[in-house]
Amino acid sequence: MLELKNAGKKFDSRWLFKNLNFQTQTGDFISILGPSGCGKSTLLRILAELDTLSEGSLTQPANTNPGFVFQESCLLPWLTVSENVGIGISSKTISLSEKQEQVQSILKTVKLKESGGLFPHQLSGGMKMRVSIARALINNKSVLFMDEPFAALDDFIRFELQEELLDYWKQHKMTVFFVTHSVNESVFLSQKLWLFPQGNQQEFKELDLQKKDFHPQQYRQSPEYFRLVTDISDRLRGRA
Amino acid sequence: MKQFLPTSILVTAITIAIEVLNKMGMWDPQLIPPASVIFDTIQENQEAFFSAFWDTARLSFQSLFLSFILGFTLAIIFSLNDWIKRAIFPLAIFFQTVPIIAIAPLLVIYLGYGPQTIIASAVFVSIFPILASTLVGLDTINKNLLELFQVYQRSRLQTLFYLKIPGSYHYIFAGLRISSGLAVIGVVAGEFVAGGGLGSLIDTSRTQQRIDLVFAALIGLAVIGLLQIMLLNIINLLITRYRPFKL
Ligand SMILES: Nc1ncnc2c1ncn2[C@@H]1O[C@H](COP(=O)(O)OP(=O)(O)O)[C@@H](O)[C@H]1O
Ligand SMILES: [Mg+2]
Repeated sequence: MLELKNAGKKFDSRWLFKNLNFQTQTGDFISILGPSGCGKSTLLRILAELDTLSEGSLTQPANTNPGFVFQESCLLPWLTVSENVGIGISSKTISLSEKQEQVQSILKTVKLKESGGLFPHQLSGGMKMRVSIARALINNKSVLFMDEPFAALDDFIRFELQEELLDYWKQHKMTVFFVTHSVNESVFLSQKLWLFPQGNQQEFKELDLQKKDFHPQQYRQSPEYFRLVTDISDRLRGRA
Repeated sequence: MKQFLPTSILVTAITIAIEVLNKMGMWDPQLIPPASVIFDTIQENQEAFFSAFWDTARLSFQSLFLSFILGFTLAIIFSLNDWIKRAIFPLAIFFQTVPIIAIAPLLVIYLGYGPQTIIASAVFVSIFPILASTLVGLDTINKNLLELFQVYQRSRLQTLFYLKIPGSYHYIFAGLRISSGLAVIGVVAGEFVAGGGLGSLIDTSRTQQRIDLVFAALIGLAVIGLLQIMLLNIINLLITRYRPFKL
């Protein structure tokens, strides 16, 4: 469905990455994993067509309906929660009542049914991120781009949001590109990993986790989860 | 209102003190006339004073409005086209450094005696803060928010009206506040050379050594400044209350 061929990106004369070859299937949950500053956000922005490749090619299916979640929640402070979420509907053909219905329904999904009339400054960090995610999910998005969305949240809320995101993905099977620098997070959430070169590993690696179908809450305690986290951490340090 | 209490107390105390000192013969009303004298002067010259007051007030409001429209539109054009911005903005900064008192006589030559010269003089000094602060506001819009509008396929016009303008609203308004004071200054400078209003009332009173009339005019100018700020505050209140920038 989406394909990167010999993709490379440079700023000025410095190459951020080169020779990237990846393919994805519709409905994949892909984590893009690497240390800070390696170019994860840049790659994600290229996939979302907010930036362009310096060499190689990116082919995408036509008519994708993308959602984007930034690390900060990026809400418009002068709009209410409902109005902020409504920005995510890009379709011009939709009627106002239909739009309001969609907003109500997605707010229910992210557990903010009662907060539609509040303004961003009245929300906690976790709630703001929920609004931001609702804005990205609304209108049945076919692709979701997420740039370290949970990095700034505390553990309790992060775990909660990770589990809810996974539940939602299992129901809707949209394609997700999830940037993170956390091995735990990437193993917990995704089906496939794209590993940025690190340590003595010079090449990009794609890793299929071949996860069995666990219930999200139980998966965090499962031996498989620990094995994968250890395995990938070792691999990143060049010990595997 | 509580915030103005200290100032009000101070001004009232000074006014009363001057009044008392004047009654005791320990004050020179030729230097600073007491409030009662200024009040009497305004009553005696009621017609001339209020007609001058309204002239100056009207021109100040008109100039401020014109400055806002022009400065804001220019800033929007600059933000859409970098080339135009780099061509014109340095000139605006340059003209900003030329004192209005030096320009006003030229304006009379170009535009003649009349309100057009006064408005030109006022717009000349009050347009810059609006232009500059709107530009700063438009420049400081979060880059991620701009990209968000790009992802959700919003047009340039939608991005302007629903993101850029509301996002720089506080900057625009701060510029407007500064400009409102400058508009009054520009009108008075224009009136000095082109005639009419409180500006020429001050000018003629000066030649006649009528300190009391000068003070009456100064109070009139202060009132105009206050009225402008009050109007701006009301507009601000309405805009933040009814939020016309909903998508
Ligand atoms: N627009 C840009 N111009 C120049 N350099 C950039 C630009 N965007 C990012 N970079 C550089 O590219 C590198 C990778 O950035 P980024 O993709 O944000 O990394 P990550 O998200 O993995 O932390 C950084 O060193 C950053 O300085
Ligand atoms: Mg990043």
